Formats: sequence, structure tokens, C-alpha cells
Amino acid sequence: MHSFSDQSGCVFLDVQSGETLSILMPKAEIFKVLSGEILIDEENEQSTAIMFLIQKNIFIPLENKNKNV
Amino acid sequence: MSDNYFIDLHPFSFSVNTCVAQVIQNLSIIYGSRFKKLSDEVADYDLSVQKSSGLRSFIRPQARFFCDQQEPFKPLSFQKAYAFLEWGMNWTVAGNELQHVIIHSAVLAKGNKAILFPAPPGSGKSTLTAYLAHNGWRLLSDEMALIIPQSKTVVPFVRPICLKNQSIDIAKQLFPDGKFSDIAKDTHKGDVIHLSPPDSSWQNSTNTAELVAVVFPNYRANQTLQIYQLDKTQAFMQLVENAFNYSVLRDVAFSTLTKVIDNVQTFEIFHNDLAQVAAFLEQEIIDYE
Amino acid sequence: MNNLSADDVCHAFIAPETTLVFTSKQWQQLVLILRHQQLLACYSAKFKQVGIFERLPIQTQRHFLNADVLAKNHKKQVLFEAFELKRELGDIPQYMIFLKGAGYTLSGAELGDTRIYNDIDILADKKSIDMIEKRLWLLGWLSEELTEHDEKYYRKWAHETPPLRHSKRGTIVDIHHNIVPIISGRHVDADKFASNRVTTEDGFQILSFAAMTLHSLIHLFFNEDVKKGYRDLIDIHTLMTANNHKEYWIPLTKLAKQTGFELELFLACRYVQKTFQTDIPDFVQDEISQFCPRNIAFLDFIYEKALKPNHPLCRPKFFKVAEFMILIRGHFQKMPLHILMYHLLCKAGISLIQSLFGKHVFTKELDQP
Repeated sequence: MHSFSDQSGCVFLDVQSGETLSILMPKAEIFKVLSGEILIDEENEQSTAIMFLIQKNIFIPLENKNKNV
Repeated sequence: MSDNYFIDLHPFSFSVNTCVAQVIQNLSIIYGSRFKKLSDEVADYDLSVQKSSGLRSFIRPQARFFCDQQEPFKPLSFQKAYAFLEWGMNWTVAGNELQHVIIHSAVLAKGNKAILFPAPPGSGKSTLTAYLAHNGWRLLSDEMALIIPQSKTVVPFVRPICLKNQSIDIAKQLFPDGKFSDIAKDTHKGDVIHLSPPDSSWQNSTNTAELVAVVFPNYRANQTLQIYQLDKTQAFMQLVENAFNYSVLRDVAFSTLTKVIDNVQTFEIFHNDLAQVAAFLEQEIIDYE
Repeated sequence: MNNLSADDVCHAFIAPETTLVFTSKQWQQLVLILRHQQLLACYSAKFKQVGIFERLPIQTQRHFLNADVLAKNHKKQVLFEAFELKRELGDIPQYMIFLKGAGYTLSGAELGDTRIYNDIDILADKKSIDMIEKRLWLLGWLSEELTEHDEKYYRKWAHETPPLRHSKRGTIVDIHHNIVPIISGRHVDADKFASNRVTTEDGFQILSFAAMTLHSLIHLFFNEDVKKGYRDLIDIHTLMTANNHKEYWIPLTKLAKQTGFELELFLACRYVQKTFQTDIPDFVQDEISQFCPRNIAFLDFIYEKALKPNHPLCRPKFFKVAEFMILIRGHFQKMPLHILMYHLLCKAGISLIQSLFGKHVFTKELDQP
């Protein structure tokens, strides 16, 4: 995983499949989503990407406050 | 009778077997002394362009391209034979060379500072490339940027500039003394012509350069110069999409490109004036660093 | 200056140090030949094993290093695909065994590290084939485009469903339910092979090394495709060398007898020894010498040519003749005569038209690179 210096987002490489994903949220915010501090209600590209990464066990939600995540 | 020729295109070399006069002539115009009859040189890849045989060659003659005895593409109409070889060379390098991260983009440098110009067809990238190459910049490549892994260093792979459709007339006007190939008509890109870059590019073909920016150019007829700073995540994803061997190099490509993006400026430009773009690039990027 | 011969290429495999006297031209020829045969990574490993890799010319090293990267990536991809296939299909068949190249890779054997191949081959029990095919269609795997004739051949006479290609990833999977075509009259109980399966640490089913070897040599000596004959012979040699013990040879000879492929085993042992001086224990040689056929001189003539690297630079004289004879022999073994004639005539018809009108007249709109 890599977080860019301009805080524009993070990118991930799934080493098994070779797929690369991006999330347009700075690292700090992503952690807040995983810990439930920020809630995601709508389905958008970012929440889909986060969910995908959780499914692949690249992300592990720290707390399950988010209904969609 | 087919003859064997040798083309020295640092850091790679090709032997080309062909009897097609059009191919030989164009190679000669574009590559000059780098193109010669094969004697005892040792080439990396064995290429061949032949005329299709059989009845068909009278009705609708075709050109066939071979790399190392394999024929990776279906034949094209004979008139495109030279262009076919150029694309074949791209394909050969993109598919086999894995010591660099290879991006589908132009890369030019002023001195030691290089800018990457990835661009989809129709963005006017090649016209910009041709303009810069003839105005104080050196061309490292028109279509394939070779980046040394885990670095921002680009290795030149000097080749002709591929111009399409309207750009052809513009280029012929701008560079009346330019070394142009024949026009290949009705390709998947439209009409296509190849232009050899000026001598200074060829003379520096072994000098690497360091990337300082990634710029996405867009030509818009009615658009005066607009410059947007592109956020790095999006710039990175665009590079990934334009990287030929990304899926083979995987983590090496991922870490190389993240490092590059983190350490260069990233812009998107809309323009209708090449000189203005050049000025911006020189003042704001090259001189700024 | 001497051009490389086919024997030079073989010799480079057995005794890599002998390449250190190559001229740069000969190295270039070796690279071209090996790239054509898809053996760059294999030889690269050999050179590293004997410790001479760093002494190769830099330009040559680059080509081997490129092949190494490709092989490494290929292995990752295959593992990924195999996991996906196991996950998506594992509940359907009685058994689902990864064959050939995929089998080599999943076995973790050295052979799997340098081998590149195009398809993933799976052996499953016959009654599960339909369901497997349907499930794959649902998951986005599509049939490869074949002429109507070839499609009929696949389904009716051969032992494979037509290959399926993943619509996004481009991977091709071949599902087999037998080792040889049903029509050939050589009935091989697929379950006999399947009962020689083992499960890897990761939970994949593959054939035992003995069964894997037998399958590989059947493919080479019973089927007619010797385009990569040299490479296939190296595979067999590598398997035999890595597993040179009683617990391998005894099951191998036993299975060969059970399935009726003693001749093929004899030929395989004979030609790996001739080409690579493979170490085959005396008791095995004694056992199989009884299967030496009467026409061995003829078989020697064709196979000694066809099993050498067949790049135009070093291809043995009469290679084409040998290849053609193997084609006939292979087809003949697979199909009774009247069916063979029909099949050959159709195929001959197609190639006659292609030779008049160009090779790609059967394909659709020319797509340009």
C-alpha cells in the first residue's frame, strides 16, 4: 500500500492477482472509516473500494460501526 | 530475395529480414547510419517483414510481421509495411524487456531533466513531442519510456515520432526539412507518418535523464492555455493504465511508479498553442527545480 | 564461424560450462533458439545452478533475466488462477486434477519454476464435465473460437471440451475427462490415472510424479504434436532425474503396463538417455527392454530429429519429414483409419484454401495491432 505525499489518496497492489486499486482518501481518513469514526452511508467508488479490500483481507475493520462496511 | 539488416537502437538492437523495398527505404531515411546491412553484429531480436504469398498477393497484397519466427499479428495491407515494422518493434520490446518499467508515453528532456507525457490518441501529444524535439529539447522516446526500477531515471530509447492525421500536415509545415517516412493510410489510428527526431536526440541516445514531472497534454482548438495540478493518486492510476509491463513486474512496477509520482510534479494541460506549452514547461518546471 | 547445431544446444544443457567458449554470435543464436522454444528460463536456471551465470556476456544475461521475470510472474498467475478455479469449481467433481504445466507448478518441483505454458489443464471425472463447463460459462469463461469442424472433433471424438477463455483475464482452461481420445479404441480408464493423485500442501490435486511423467510421455509419443518436442523431452528428463528412486520407477512402470503405454515409456527412456544421458536404473532398463518395437530403426530416424530444437537456425535436416511422419503416426494412433481420412481431408482442405488465399482468410476482420 502506498499513501501519496499530497494526501490525495492511497493505492494498493493485490500481489496475488496483480490488481491495483485506488482510494481517493488520505490514509488518516481511511483509518477513521475502518475504526468507525467516519461513517459511510452512500455507495460510491470509495466505499466499494474499501469493501473490496476488506473482503480480500487487506483491510480489517477495527470496529463495525459502519453499516455498509 | 530477402536480405538481413541491422538496426542499432540503444539499449536494444534488431536484425530485420526483408525484401520489401518500401521498408528498406523508410528505415534508411529514418535511422540513417544506424541502419545497415547485417554483417557480424549480434542483435537482440530477429524481426522480419515479408510480403504475403499466394494468390492473394496479387489481388490485395499484404505485409506480414514476424518476431523470432512467430507471427503475433494478422497481416496488414502491404502499403503499411514500414509502419507495421515500427509497431512490431514496440510490441517486441514491450513484451520481452523486463529490466525497466515501460510506460506508453513520450519522454523528453532539457539537459538532464525529463518530463513524461503519457497521452491517449487524439490528445495531440505527438505534435507537442515533435515541436519540443525541434526546439531545444531532446527526445528520449515518443512511445515507450523506459524507467529504471526503484528510480526516477529514464533510459532513452530513441525512435521516430509517430504522427497522425491532421498532425501530419502541421508537422510538414513546421519542419519542412524533417526526415519523414511514407504515409501509411487507413491504419487503426488513421493516416500515420513517422518523423525522425533531430540529430541532437540521436547523439544523446545513451544519456539518461531524471524525471521531474508527469504532464498530461490535451490539445483543444479553442482553448487557451489552462494548467491544472493533478492529484497524485489519479496521476499514478493513469500511469498504471499506461504501463506496458505493469502486470508482469507487479510489485517492482508498483513501488517504482509510486516513488516516481511522489517525487515529481503532476499536471494536466489544455492548450492550442505549442509555443506556450513549451514556455510553461521550461519556466515553471525545468527552471523551477 | 560455426553456427550452433541442435546438438550444441542439447550439449549446453548437459554440460553448461562448455558454453563459455561461445562467440557472441553463438550466444545470440542460442538466445534466439531458446526463446523460440520457450526454454530461456530453463537454461537460465541451469547456468545459475552450475555457477557460471555471471560469466555470460552482459547482453546475453539480460535476455535470461527477462525470461526469469516472466517465469516468476507466470508462476504467480498460475497459482492465482488455480486458487480461483478450486474455489469456484471444487464442490462439483469427484476429482479435479491439475495436469501438465499447471501440475508442475503446483507440485512445487523445480520444473515448475521455469516452465511457461499457455493453458491450464484439468482432469475431471466424465460425469462432472458438463456441470463444470456450465459453471465456468456463468463465471465469464467463454469458448475459444473454433471452426465448426474442430469443435465437432473436440466434443465427439477427442477427450477434451473445447478450451475456455476467461473473458477478462484471458487465461485459457482445458477440461479433460480422459487422457486419450475415446474414439481411438485405446480405452484408458481415466480413473486409473486419477487414482494416482496426490494433494499438495495448498490443497490442489495433482498427479503423482510417476503418473505425471507417464502423462507427459504419452502426450509426447502418442499424440502428434512435437512442435515443442525438445522442451517436452527436457520435462521428462527433469522429472526422471529429480525422482530417481524405486518409489518412482516402480509405480511408473506399473502404471504404464496397466494403461497399455509400455511402448511410449520405452521410447521416452530411450530418447532421454540418448539426448541427455539421463540416469535410468538398470532394473528399469531391463524391465522395459522387452517393449522395444520391431520398427525401432524407423522410430529412431524420426524421433532423433523431431525431438531436437527446431528453430530454423539449427533444425536437423529432414526435420520436416520427421515431423510429418509423426503427425501421421500420431493421428493414426488416435483414430481409426476411415475417421482419420475424413479428418485429414478436411484439414487438408482448409490448408489448401489458406495456401491459395493467405493464411488468415478464415479469420474475421483484420484486426490491426
